[in-house]
Amino acid sequence: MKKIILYGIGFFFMLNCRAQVINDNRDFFYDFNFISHLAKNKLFSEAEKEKENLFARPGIPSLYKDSVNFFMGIEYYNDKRLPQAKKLFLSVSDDVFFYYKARYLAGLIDTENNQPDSAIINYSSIGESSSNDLNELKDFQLSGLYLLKKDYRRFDSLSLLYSFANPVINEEFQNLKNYAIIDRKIKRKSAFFAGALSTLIPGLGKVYAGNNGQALSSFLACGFIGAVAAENYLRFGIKHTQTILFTGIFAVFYIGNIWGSALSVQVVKIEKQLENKHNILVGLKVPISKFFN
Amino acid sequence: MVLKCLLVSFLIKGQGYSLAKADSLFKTTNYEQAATAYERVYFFSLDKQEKMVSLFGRANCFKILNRHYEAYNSLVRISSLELDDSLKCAANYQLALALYLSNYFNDAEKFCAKNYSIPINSKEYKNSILLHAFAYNELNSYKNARLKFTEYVLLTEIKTEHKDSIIDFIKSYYTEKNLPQLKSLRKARRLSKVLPGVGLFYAGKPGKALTNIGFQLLAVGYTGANVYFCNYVTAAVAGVFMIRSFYTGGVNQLNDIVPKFNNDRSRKFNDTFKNVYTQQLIKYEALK
Repeated sequence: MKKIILYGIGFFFMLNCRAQVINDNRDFFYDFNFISHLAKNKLFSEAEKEKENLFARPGIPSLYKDSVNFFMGIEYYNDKRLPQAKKLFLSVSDDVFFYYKARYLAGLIDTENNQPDSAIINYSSIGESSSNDLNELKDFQLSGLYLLKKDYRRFDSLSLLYSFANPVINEEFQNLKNYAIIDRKIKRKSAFFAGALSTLIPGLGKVYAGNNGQALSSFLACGFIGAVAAENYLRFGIKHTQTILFTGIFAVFYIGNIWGSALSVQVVKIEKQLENKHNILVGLKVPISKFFN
Repeated sequence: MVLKCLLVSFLIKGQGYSLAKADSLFKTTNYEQAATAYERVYFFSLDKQEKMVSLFGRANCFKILNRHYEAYNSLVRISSLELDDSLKCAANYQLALALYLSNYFNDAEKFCAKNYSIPINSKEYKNSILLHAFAYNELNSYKNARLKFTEYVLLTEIKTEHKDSIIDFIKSYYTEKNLPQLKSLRKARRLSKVLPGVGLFYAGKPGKALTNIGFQLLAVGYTGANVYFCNYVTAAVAGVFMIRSFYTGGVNQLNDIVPKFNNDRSRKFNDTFKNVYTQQLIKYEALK
């Protein structure tokens, strides 16, 4: 009888322990849901406090920590709070299945923030996966980053090395190759030549740079002020105050136009480079969103 | 005993998001934590009534923390379809109050107006009339403000002579000649377009008007002198450029001057009324 009572107590004790574990897990799950709800509603400061409380609790499984970090990271990312998002993505451990998505999104944040080196380090630290698609995605991202860095030598060597089996990556990689060709073709026109052209005829340097609208307005402005200065010179002579004033204004416009023409050559080049860079960035984003969404 | 232990342990876990816990945090003035606890109740509770109470509680926390727009964001989640008339009225009033305190007077006015279709005469209904009047006052809609302020006084339970005294004050304050003479931007711009500088006189800036007229006369004089001395190119380019600049400058600066003038004038009028009217309500114990 004594034994039966002892077994009975033991059984209930075991049940209680099991119930405690289930309750704890359930509480972690509830807290995780609540934090996700707060983050989804952009209540980030409250979500952070709740996260702190949850992580401070003893015995929290790493799965919950990773899940909270990942989902909060996603919400920060959607809200364009990229530094916070990156920090959370990088804290996701490789024990969970969304580790790859977190890592690639962190890399994407670096790429968008003009930090290709940091993105390269991030992608390089991702280990070999059993999935061939994921390995191809890593190689594709790395090659795109070398292109962004204008490291054509490495990009070329990688493009010779890789033939992607995944159709999405393969298509985007062909696009990357085209962007690489365009990137090389963007040559800097001569700033000196543009300035020289504007010295001859105000605005001509801007036509050479490719800014026809600006060229016309520069030509008209210089022309009108030049006409005023000339008229005052012819009527009153060089020493008259009005002549000095308008000649001074004309000189400022004329020299400013020469300087502007030289600069516009650089500006046009930067604009073209930015456009190509944007296309490369979109190309890098597409496979990530297609893979993980 | 073991079963009891299990049951107690389960109940304790279940109380992780109880309304009582949120209320106790609120009572101990931990408003930030209370707001989160109310949100927790809203998220986990399956009871619609409890959800609604939690949103009111959360809004109250933010109201005390002077974060009125966050209070509005909590209240706006209450579904008015699930509320009875008195709660609908209370919700509309709280929403309007949060918006009014966040300086969104137009939206506050709309929420106050929603209460007129509700057949109820609760405290919130009366308060929403007062709030509506204040919103109209801020929006410079003085005719409507006067009606609403009077309506509120008539609804209060104070002595008739006190009511009459306050109503007389409202009438005398909102007479046509007392109302702030606000300027029309459109009219000011038209005046300045036809007669340069006159729009600035109209907007109550004679100094700026005289300066602008002076500059425009100088520009015209300069152009005329150049024409007189046969400097036609200079007259056409420099003269016309100067005239045009001063002319359009005189018209465009009205875009800043007129709203500022109207705001200064109405602010003084509105604030004086608000202070005196509220003092009278307090004096006659109408706000009880």
